[in-house]
Amino acid sequence: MVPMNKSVAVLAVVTLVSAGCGTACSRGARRDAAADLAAIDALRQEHVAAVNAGDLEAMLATMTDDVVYLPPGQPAVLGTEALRSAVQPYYEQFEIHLSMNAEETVVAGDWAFEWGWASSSMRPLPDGDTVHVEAKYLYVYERQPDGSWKIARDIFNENTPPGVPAS
Amino acid sequence: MESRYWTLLVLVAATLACSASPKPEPRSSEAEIRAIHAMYDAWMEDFEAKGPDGYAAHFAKNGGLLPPKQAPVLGKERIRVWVEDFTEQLTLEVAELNWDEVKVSGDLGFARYHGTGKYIFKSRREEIAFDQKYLDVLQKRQDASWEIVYHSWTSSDYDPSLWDTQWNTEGN
Repeated sequence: MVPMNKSVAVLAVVTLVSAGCGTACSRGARRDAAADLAAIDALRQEHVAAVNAGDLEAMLATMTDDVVYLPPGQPAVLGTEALRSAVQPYYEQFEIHLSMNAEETVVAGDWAFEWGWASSSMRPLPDGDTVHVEAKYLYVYERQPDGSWKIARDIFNENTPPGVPAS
Repeated sequence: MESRYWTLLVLVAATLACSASPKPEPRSSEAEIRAIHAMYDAWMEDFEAKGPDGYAAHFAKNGGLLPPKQAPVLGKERIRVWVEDFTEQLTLEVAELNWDEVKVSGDLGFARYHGTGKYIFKSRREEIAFDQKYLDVLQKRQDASWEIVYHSWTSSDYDPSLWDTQWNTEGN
């Protein structure tokens, strides 16, 4: 009977410690969180690559169908079709170079939140002068039914006041 | 002796498991969203009544403002100082605030809303109208109330805004 008691006690210890930690402490949760962060990182890189390639459809594919885009100087843009109409002129008239660096990314269930830095250069085609903008962004990512992630909310604004050149 | 050992082990484990503050009962999403709206109401009231302290009180310790045409303002104390500078020079009058969405997932969530109003320069009574949209990341505190982690906004029109004025270039 003693071994049985030991087993019960050990099981009780394991159960209590597990209950105390909750899912956040479990190895599985940590592994999933790491996988989610890696997937989000890859998605961001895919988004940047699409922008830099001037590939509007590939860029739109990184965003949810009901994406909400909140750029400076214009009302909110709701959904893929509205976003395509809003940004298509830029893809047609500018050569764009974008880089993004995430400062903090946090996953919460089927949503993830991220803020970071964005640096973009836009050169009017065919041979205009390049305009450089330093900005910060806040993204909300949403997990899709197939487990992948997409950008669901996108707000960004410049880092410098008027008259101060972006470094 | 052996039995005592295992009893002690179980008790220690139970104590460790329960040593963290007890979590409040889980609430429905609707209740969480009501709690978030209540936080925003309190935020506005506290800003009105207590100024920069009241404004900053509703941010997470490591929270941040992501204002237009400025560097991020990170940390509760820096937010308080930023608002102090703002309120020394300007009065904010909100005419209308409209909710677009509030979503919650566990202890995190986000809120999106838009609003109109005006900034009034105290020294010269000049007014600048605003039409802005907002996106905030929120988190639940241990006491189940909510706080703002990040607060970001952009102008919704092409007109030059407060963020293009001398307040922005000189004050920050």
